[in-house]
Order: sequence, then structure tokens, then C-alpha cells
Amino acid sequence: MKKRFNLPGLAFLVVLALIWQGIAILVDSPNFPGFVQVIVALFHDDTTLAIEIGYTLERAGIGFALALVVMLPFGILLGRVRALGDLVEPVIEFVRPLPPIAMVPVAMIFFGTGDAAKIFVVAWSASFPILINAIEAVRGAHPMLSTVARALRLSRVETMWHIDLPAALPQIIAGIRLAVAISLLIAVVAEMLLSTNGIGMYLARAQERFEIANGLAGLLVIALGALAVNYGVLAIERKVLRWHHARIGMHAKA
Amino acid sequence: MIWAKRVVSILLFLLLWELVALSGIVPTEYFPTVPVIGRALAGLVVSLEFLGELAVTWERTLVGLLLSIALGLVLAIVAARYETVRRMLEPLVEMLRGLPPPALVPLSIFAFGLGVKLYFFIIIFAAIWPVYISAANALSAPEPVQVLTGRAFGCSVWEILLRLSLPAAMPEIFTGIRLAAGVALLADVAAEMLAGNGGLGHLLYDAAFTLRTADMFAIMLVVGLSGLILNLLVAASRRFFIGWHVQLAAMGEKT
Amino acid sequence: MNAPLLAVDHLSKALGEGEARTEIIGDLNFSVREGEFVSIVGPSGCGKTTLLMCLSGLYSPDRGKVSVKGEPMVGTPAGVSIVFQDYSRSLLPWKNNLENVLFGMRRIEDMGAREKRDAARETLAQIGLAGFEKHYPWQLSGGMQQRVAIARALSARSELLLLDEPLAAVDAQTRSEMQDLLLDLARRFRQTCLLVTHDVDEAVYVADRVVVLSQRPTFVVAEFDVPLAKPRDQFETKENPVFLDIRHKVLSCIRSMRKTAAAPVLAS
Repeated sequence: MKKRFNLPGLAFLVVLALIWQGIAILVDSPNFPGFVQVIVALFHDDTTLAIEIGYTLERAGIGFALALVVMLPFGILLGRVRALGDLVEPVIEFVRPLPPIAMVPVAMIFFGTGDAAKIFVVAWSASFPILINAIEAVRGAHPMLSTVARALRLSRVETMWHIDLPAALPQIIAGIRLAVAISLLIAVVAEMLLSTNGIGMYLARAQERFEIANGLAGLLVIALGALAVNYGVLAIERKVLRWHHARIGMHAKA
Repeated sequence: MIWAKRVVSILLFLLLWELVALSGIVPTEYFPTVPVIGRALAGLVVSLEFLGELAVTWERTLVGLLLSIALGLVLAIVAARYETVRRMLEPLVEMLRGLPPPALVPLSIFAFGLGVKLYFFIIIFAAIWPVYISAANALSAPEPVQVLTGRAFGCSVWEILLRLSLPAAMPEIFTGIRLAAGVALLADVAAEMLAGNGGLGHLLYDAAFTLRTADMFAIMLVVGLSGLILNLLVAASRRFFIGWHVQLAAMGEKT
Repeated sequence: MNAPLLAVDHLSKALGEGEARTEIIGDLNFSVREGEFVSIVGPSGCGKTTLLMCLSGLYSPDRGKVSVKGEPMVGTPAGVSIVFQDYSRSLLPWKNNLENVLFGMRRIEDMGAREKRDAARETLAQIGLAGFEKHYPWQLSGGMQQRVAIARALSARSELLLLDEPLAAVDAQTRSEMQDLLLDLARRFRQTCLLVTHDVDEAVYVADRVVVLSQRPTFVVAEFDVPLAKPRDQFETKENPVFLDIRHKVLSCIRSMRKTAAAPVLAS
């Protein structure tokens, strides 16, 4: 039912594009390119754009993977071992509101302006949603499940793997989805501040050269990239969380 | 008790920092000791110039956030009332939401110049989505019994939406607002770093690229504290606006 | 003879879309006179809730008509109020009890805000909740919450009060107290009531007349007058041979329907 083709949505996008083009024709200025010019710029620069978004996706991917590998086990640990969690959480709470972009200078100082700096910033920003959701998900798990774990005489590691992880999975996945979106976003921003390539750099350069159509084309590529990544994550989520969605669906019907 | 734990936790963190700084693993110019950062912070806090920049950032963030909330709510109410509008906006929202707001800074400078409009635009672009999405979701799935109650007592469709569904959706909307507040500060600082023209972000950028690391960390601390205070403000307004829900949730936790 | 307060005339209603569409109410005829307390009982799943939705104007009938005081029903008329079974969701959690009762009075036009406030306070007191005006409904027990919901419906000053299994979710002891409260309120407010319930004892105990419904698609199987004196008493009334006789008739009515309905299930 949800998969229904969204005609009004598509029609609205087309109308917006037409209005945009109309205004651009009326204004008739190189500083106000129309939709068509943007598409032209997109195809004119298509190889460059593909290569640049490739760099960006690569950095976002590595940074995200790093965050996932480090923070997921750490989060589950902090959620499970209450005393440790209590000790570390205030620090997390304090560091979290720091705008990730503010980490760019720090990264620059430690890692220079190379790939490592950007990957560090991405990993840093992607860490928080994963970490916090993992802690909360494990803590919020139904106490009954903990009792079951004890009744089955599972070891601590076994409890974490067999009980905590699946029970906490829906919320953890929500965190991961957020982290994926943030990774791409931060990769772009980091590139805008310190980079020699990547889509963020492309945007910054378009501005310097007053190539507005190219800048918009770059934005379009980012938006499409984000959309594609988001759908990919959703598809994976549906597979992993089939039992969860089935249960929610049942409740919705009842 | 909670506060004691927090203090211990922060103290341990500072101790760890100090040990790393003193150990010489990283050069101290890059990783200043706690007292050096503290002195830098003290120097900033007493400087009127710095306080002025702090005020600039706060003003942009707060006004931008309020605009985002207002726009997001109006949009969500219309979308909840007219299903077609909601479906119309869906792909557009999905697309725009995927754009990093800072990536809009270069082109927005063309459109808005370096004035206050630029920052509002970037903040709204970043912070409107959490408000819109949480509100639209909550408003378009109202509690059926509540809707029936409203109809039984003679409420019109708009009255049900505004007087029943909206108050009922407030808890979820506030979750969106809390997210939006964090995002607003983030977007503003990012815009300031990229566009310049004052604010904490600008100072931070300056400090970093002139390698004044102690100042840099001190400014980061101020940004972090600002985020914390903003969070507290949202929490306080949440208690003010939906005190009933805060109490209800507290009751649920006890049982 | 005047037109009855509520007249249900060949009412029929189906719910659902396409293949899932099922006829819930077949062909329903009954009426409620002014000042009467009528109970409706039937086997589970007989479309009692759907019926109440039609009677309160929340659903419009497919065929037939519902009229109040001889006038066919349009929209949700101010002359009909309803108490839902699910009080925890039907009471508004962001309003305190007084405000919830005031919400029920929103369609009364000949009263000022102050008058309404006093009247709402008075109704809450009548229902035994004086001193709880500033509490939120969710701070009260289930029975007390349902009292607030009843107060809200009463304060609308409607000619007809519909009660959708209002006591199904409260504990047994509270239930018998609330039955007496309902009877008492109906007398004091001279309120015409239509109670839908699955509890036969309750149906007979509070009513002047019991209407027994069939299984889906619903029609009226039988009607029984309850010629028991009022005020009634939980012990005396329920031991009265007349009460027991009616109770027996209603129960056997329902049981015979269950048997005929169950037969094909057993066969398959």
C-alpha cells in the first residue's frame, strides 16, 4: 500500500522546476540559471561530478564504517555495564553538542589536510547517533529479557550477542540510519573547508568561479546521492528487521 | 547523586586530557594543557568583543530556530489536513533533507549576501525538517478514539486538528524541536565558519587557521556549552508547554 | 402519543472496503422513549459498537434512518452525547478534569464561561469527584476516570446519553458502584440513557427495558420490559424473582443464538 506511486509528489516537483525555469527566463541573468541550464551543466560536467562524488562517498563510507565498528560494541558495553556507562555518559553528553564542523580545525591540526582528517571528522560525527542509540536501546531492553538471559545461564558476552543486540536492533538501526545521513553530510562539509577534491570542493570552487549552474548541479548530485544511500539503508533495514516490522504491522491492524 | 557522578566523570576526563598533554605524545602547541585552555577561556570571557560574537551566534540561532519551528508547524498542519499536500511535499522534502545545509552556503551568499538573511536561510534549511517530519507524522496519525470524541462533541475537522490532534502531538513535536535546536546551532556555526562575518564559527575558524590552539579549544568549549544551554532551554519550554506529558511520562516510569 | 426520543427505523450498515466489506447491522428497529433507561445486549461481536456509532451520528447508515424527536439525524447532533468504553483515550490527557468536563459543554450556547465553569464543577461534585477538578484524568483510577467521562457527557445536557460498555474496563467492585451511580444520575438529571453492554446482569439491573440483539448482521431478537421498582438495590433487586426471570430469558435468548452460530464451526 505504501509502495503506491506518488503522482502528486512528482507532479509538484515538475511544476516547481517549470516555475523556476520561467522565473529564470524572466530574470535573464547568468547569476540566476534556470533548471535547464543546471541540467546542462550537470551533463557537461558529468565525469568530473561522478569522480568527485565518488571521493566523497568513499570518505563518508570509511568514516562511517570506522564509527560503526568502534562505537557499536562500545555502546552496547556502556549500556550493559551500568557503572561504566554512568562514568562515560556525561562526557559524551558534553562533547555531543559540539558542531561536528567545529572538529574540522582539530582534525586539521592532528591529521593535516589529507584524507585522514576528513575521515576522522566523519567518523566523529557518525559516532554519536550510533553510540547513544546503542546505549539507550540496550538499557531500555525489556527487563524480562535479562531474566531470560540469566535463566539460560548465558555469559556476559553471550548475553550481549544473543539478547541485547537483537532486542536493541530496531533502535540501533535507527541510530545507524541517522549516522549514514550524517556521514555524507559531514564529508561534504569537511571537503568544503579543507580539500583538494570531492563534491564539497567542487561546490566551493564553483562559488569562487561564479559558476552558479555548476554549483546547483553539484547540490543536485549530493541530493540524489543522499536519496540513493537512504533507500539502500532502508532496504537493508527491512531485511534485517523483518520481525520487528511484522510485529508493528500487526499492532497497527489490531 | 547524579550531579556528583557527572562532576567525577568530567574531572576524570580533564585528568586524562592533562595526562595526554603532559606526556608529550602530541606536541603541546597542538594539544594544550587544561590550565592553558582555561586561561585562554578566561581571557575570552572577559573580552567584550568575544561576548559580542557570542551574542551574534545566539541571536542568529534562536531567531532561526523559532522561524524553523513556526514554518515547520504550519507546513505540517496543512500537510496533515490535506493528504495531497503531504504527498506533494514528500519527494521534495526527501530530496532537500539530504542536502547538507553548509553546502548551500556558497550559493546562498549569491542570493542573500552576507547579512542576517543568509544565516536564517541556512538555519531554517537545516532545522525545519525535524520539526516538520515529527509534526506531520504525529498529526496524520491521530488517536482514533480522540478523533471520535471530538466529532461526537461537535468539533469541525479543523477544530479536531488544532484543538485535539495538535495538543496530542505536542510530545512528539517537542522531540523534533529538540533535534532542531541542536541542528540550528550546528548549521549556524558551520555557516559562520564558511561565510565569515562574525559569530563563534568565524572566531573558531580564525583561531584554527592561525594555529591558536588554546583559543580554538576554548571556543569549542563555549560552543559546546551553548549547545548544552540551548538543550536546557528546550527542556524548560517543554515543561512549560506540555507539563502534563512530562508528569504522565514520569508516572509511567515509576510503575 | 408523541414521537419517541430516539427511533431506529430499518437501520442497516456495512463496514470495510471491497471483499472485506461485511454487513454488520442487518435490519434494526427499536425506539427509546423520553426518560427511559434502555439496555442493549447481544452475543459478542454483534455490532453493538457500530450501532452506537450510527446512533451518535459518527457513522451514517447505509439504509434506514435514525431520528431524534422525530427529526432525521444530521451529523453529530447536540442532542446526543456518548461515553466511550476507552476512557483513557477518550479523555484528553492535556486537560484537567474540569477542563475535560467543560469540553463536553462546548456546544451549549446560552451559558457564559463562568456559568459553565460553575456547572461543570457542580457536575463533578454530583458524580463524587469534588476536589479533583485540578487533577488530570490519568492521575485517577480507572473507575474515577470513567466518572469524569460520564460527567463530561452529562454536562452536555443532551436529551439522550449513549453509553458504550462504559464499565467493561473497571474492576467488578467498582462496576456495581458505578451501576448504582448511573441509575442515580439518570434519575436526578432525568436523563434518557441507552446502555450497550455484554453483561446481562448489568443490562437487566439498570434498565427499564432490555433489547436483545442477534449476531451479525444484527436485528432485534427480543425486547423485555423490566418492571422492577426504583431505586434498585444490588442485593434485593438481584434476588428478586422478577429480575431472575428476565435474566434467565435474556441469557437463554443469547445462548440459543450462540448454539446456532457455533454449529457450522464445529462441523467444519
